[in-house]
Amino acid sequence: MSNVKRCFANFSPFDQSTIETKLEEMAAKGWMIQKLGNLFWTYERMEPQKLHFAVTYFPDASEFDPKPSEGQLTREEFCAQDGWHLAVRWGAMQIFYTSQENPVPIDTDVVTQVETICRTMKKTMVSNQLVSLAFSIFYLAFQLWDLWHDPVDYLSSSNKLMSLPMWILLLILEAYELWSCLRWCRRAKKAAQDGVFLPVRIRQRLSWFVLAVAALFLLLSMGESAFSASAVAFGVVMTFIGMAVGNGLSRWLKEQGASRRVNMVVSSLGVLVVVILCFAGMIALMIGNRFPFFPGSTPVSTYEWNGRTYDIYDDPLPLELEDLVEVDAQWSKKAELQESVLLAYGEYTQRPLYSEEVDYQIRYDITDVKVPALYPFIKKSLVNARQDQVQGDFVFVDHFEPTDPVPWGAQEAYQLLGNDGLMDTYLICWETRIVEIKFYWTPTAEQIARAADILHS
Amino acid sequence: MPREKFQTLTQQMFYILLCLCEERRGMDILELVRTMTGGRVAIGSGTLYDLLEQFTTEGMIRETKAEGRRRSYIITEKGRTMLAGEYRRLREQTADYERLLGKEAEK
Repeated sequence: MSNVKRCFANFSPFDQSTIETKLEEMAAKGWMIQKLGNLFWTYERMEPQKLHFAVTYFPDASEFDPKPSEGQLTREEFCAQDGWHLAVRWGAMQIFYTSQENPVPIDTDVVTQVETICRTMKKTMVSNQLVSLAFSIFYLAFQLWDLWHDPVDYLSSSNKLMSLPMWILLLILEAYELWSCLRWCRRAKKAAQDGVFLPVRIRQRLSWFVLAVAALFLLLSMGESAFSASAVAFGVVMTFIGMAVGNGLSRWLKEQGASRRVNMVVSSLGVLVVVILCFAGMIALMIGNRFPFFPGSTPVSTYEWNGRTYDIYDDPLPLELEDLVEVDAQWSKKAELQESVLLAYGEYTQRPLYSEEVDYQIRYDITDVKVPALYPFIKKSLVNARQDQVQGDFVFVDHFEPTDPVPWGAQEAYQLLGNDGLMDTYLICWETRIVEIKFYWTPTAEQIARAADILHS
Repeated sequence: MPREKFQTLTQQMFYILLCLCEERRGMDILELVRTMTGGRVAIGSGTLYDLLEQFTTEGMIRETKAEGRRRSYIITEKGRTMLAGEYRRLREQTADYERLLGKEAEK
């Protein structure tokens, strides 16, 4: 029979009454609180007792302090004189207990109590929430920029697509918790003027639910490919290692008597070193091609040309040069595909090996729009992806001009215009498929018709 | 609108300042207030510590002696002024009550 029990801490650290009731119930069952943590609280076995608990806060205390300050110890002595024994400390939070039948509460002045809780909230929860909120806003802004900048790549990547709602949910959760704290402080201060203590009510279950949904999106984002799974697993492992190193370092520094500032700086640097090492390790693995960190096809062999080594790919392509021209050569055929519930996107290239004396080469991207409502947006972004560039007095012409769609059997077609005139690059729009194709020669009408037939099928 | 800090005193603030009209150790105030009020007013130990800290910061009391963590305090002129102000306010309230309901209350 174990003498220690760990329980999930499903309450806000500021929900005093819920915590006190829970600890009183546990004491009545023979379990005394021993250690507090973010997720789990540890209890140790004792004789079942009827005890009263009080949760209080000392705003100036920090989890990084090597030992309690003189002020905190003095406050604890005051409590001890009144029959309240310290059960456990956790950062700015202290839990006391007493066996007195009708004890005088530790906090009896509502105004002072609310002020203390608000100061503690601002120093701990609010500052943490602000940092998390800033990080989430930054990441979300980056995601939205990515979506706006390259919607085809973004919307066809399950990894990116599923991480977007996850970050939105985290942002909402952090904003909600921050707002709850600030609203409670405002309302509690007002109520305290009338002698009323407004209990802290943060909907912890709602927070856990939102976190669970966010975690579900994280799992969904892993499903796309080995690359996605590796990237997410890397992020999760790095977070856990970082937390373990940060906590371990902080604990060790506390034991060594390091000051709060030293502890905070060194622990933060420890986490930073872990992050740097993890990224360095990832880069080393990528260079060694040991893990599928990058999406894409795998070369089947290599060849030497002019003293350099080149990869040869042999991926299946929907349209091959052999479908258009009669030419005999050694080719490298590469296909890179990604697909989400909204879009499927593929990049295809077929080029001769450098050792071959062949001019034929093609490169094309196929975008299949699965949600019709997205079609105009995707088409517009693909058409506008090419824009003229002005540098001083010179204009680098690079944009699509509408062209006759009939040869392509399409609804719309565009041809790329450069400084030297129309080029052999086309953007063809069918009902649900948009293809950008570059011929490295000027195709004949028959070749265009053949390419259209294959690419549209 | 929230009142300005210490413009009016809560019952606990009032009794702590009252006790410190004589130099006393902080910890002794708990028992003294209970005795003085016949148990009608009980100050929590955490509240006492917090208020002593706040009063010191605001210059309403000052520390006179420190023996380890056992510290003694005494009220300052500013504290006395605030205590007197609160006393006047309470007297005015009492006077208002007596003027309106005094006779009835005596029955």
